[in-house]
Amino acid sequence: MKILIVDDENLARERLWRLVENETSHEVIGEATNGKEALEKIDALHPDLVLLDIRMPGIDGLEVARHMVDMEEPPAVIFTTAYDEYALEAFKVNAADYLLKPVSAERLIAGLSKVIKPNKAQWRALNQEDGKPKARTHISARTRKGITLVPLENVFYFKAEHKYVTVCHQEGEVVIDVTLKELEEEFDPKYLRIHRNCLVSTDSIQGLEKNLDGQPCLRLRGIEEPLEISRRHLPKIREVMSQK
Amino acid sequence: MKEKSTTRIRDLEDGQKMFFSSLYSIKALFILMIGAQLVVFVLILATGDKLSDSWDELGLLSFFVQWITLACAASLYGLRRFLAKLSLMKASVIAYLLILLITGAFAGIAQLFLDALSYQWGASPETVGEFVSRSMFISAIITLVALRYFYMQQQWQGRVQLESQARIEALQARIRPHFLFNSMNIIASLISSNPKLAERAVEDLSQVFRVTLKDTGSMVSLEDEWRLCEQYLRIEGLRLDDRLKVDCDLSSVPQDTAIPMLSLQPLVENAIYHGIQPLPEGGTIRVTGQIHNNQIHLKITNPMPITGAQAKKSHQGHQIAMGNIQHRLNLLFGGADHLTTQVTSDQYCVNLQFPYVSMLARDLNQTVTT
Repeated sequence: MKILIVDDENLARERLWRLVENETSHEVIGEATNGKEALEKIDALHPDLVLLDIRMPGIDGLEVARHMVDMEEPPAVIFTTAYDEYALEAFKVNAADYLLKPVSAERLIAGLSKVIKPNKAQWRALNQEDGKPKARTHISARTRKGITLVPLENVFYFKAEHKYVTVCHQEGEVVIDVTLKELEEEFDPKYLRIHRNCLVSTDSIQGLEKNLDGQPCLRLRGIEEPLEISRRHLPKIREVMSQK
Repeated sequence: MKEKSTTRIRDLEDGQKMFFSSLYSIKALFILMIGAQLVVFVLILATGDKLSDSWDELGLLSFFVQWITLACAASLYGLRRFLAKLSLMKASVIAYLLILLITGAFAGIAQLFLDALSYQWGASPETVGEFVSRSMFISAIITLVALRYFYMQQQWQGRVQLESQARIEALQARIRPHFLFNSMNIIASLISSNPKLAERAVEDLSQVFRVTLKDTGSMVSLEDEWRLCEQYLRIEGLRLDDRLKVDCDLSSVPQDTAIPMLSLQPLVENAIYHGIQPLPEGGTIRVTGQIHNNQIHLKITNPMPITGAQAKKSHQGHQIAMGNIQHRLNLLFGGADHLTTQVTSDQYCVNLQFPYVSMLARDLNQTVTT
């Protein structure tokens, strides 16, 4: 098995690396020091298994796992943690296994021997907290250059086009393969549905306008073209705007 | 747990404000009555009369003073709700005047009553007015001493409470599972790769625990407190590696400066947990010190993570440790504003300010007084 080690602590990575190389027949193909790097390395190196620390600055281990939902063939994951009572509770019902730091060689061998690749439904379950989807802090998209992470606060709107959703953010556009409904559930109330095909950041809303045809549309801060609104969503938009 | 400690601090604040509350117990009442009786003995002895002739007066005077004492205690108890609403200063003044008034009233009644019985009180005859003013004068002095006593006692109790609380909180932070297990993980990693460093880490960890568990002396020298910080920082440095940079300049502050134990270390710990750890690229903790007009100024600066939610969370974390340190400094040095914070766009800064007292001088003083 090809293994990727993710931990923000140098010595913790070193020890895991040594344990895997010395005690097992598996191969460590790389390491990452934070969530962003982890996602990039997973995308580039295609590991079979990720040993993933939960507590990391920026994108933490749990969020890294959530981003894997969108991957075509996500690797298996074993979380490592020094102590995380809440997180551990969640894993018991989910597909992912976990190891407690300091990890013992026996426990590591046992963990590696029963690695299972979770299916899509199980990945989704990992994304839930008390039955509700837990919002990520970044949007991940695969581009030709590899994986791109867009901080959520930089996203102006999501627009559904054909099979995909276009994410319009401060530095351009990326395309992701999820449904608008999933995004709406995940990022409510930060993002608001204004049209059958469009979800906008409530923080970016500047004002209501009428276009040349007399149709109501919404102007966003930082976006030149106003966005189309469907009448059905108008009362909700007014309500949100009045609260701002 | 966190909420509990904040309410504890609030209780303490109220306690200081209403130090009269320490009067409202059977024990305090007993102390009050013993004190009153001692005053009676002093008054009798001070007359210079033959003791064998003073039995009548002793009885009468005891009766008189105890009546006043109990009446005062009862009326303060009756007014406790009203007094609790006032500031310490106002409540003290009102209580003081009330006690004087009660003394005056009782003195007047007693003298009129004795006049009616044509009993001769003391060696030379006195008018009602003379006796009342004399009683009130004595009462004014003694009440002042008594109020001061209860106030000091309350302050002392508060200090002891805060100190033990600080120790418990530091201990809780030490045995915070993440700190403990991460340190163990580091040591486990170092044992095979760098045994010398592993040894050092074990020593540092032991020392950090030892200081937290130690039960002697509330004050330490700045040198000792900073050594503890350094040991703590070394452990965290192993964990965070080059993400943690420390820039410390305490050279212009006298190393023997007396500082409350565990007042700097929790601030450094906060700086790491809320300032460095959430940042993927890490940052620098800056500790500087100056002495100016015999006032020590210490400053701890750490970078602030940008995201709102994290900043808010870390802010609350800061509050608890800082509330405790602030209270201890206020109690030790009097006044307020010994601990202030400044938030700039991306930096969080804690300032400590307190008068310079040498630890050596303190030790000497303590040996003289004990």
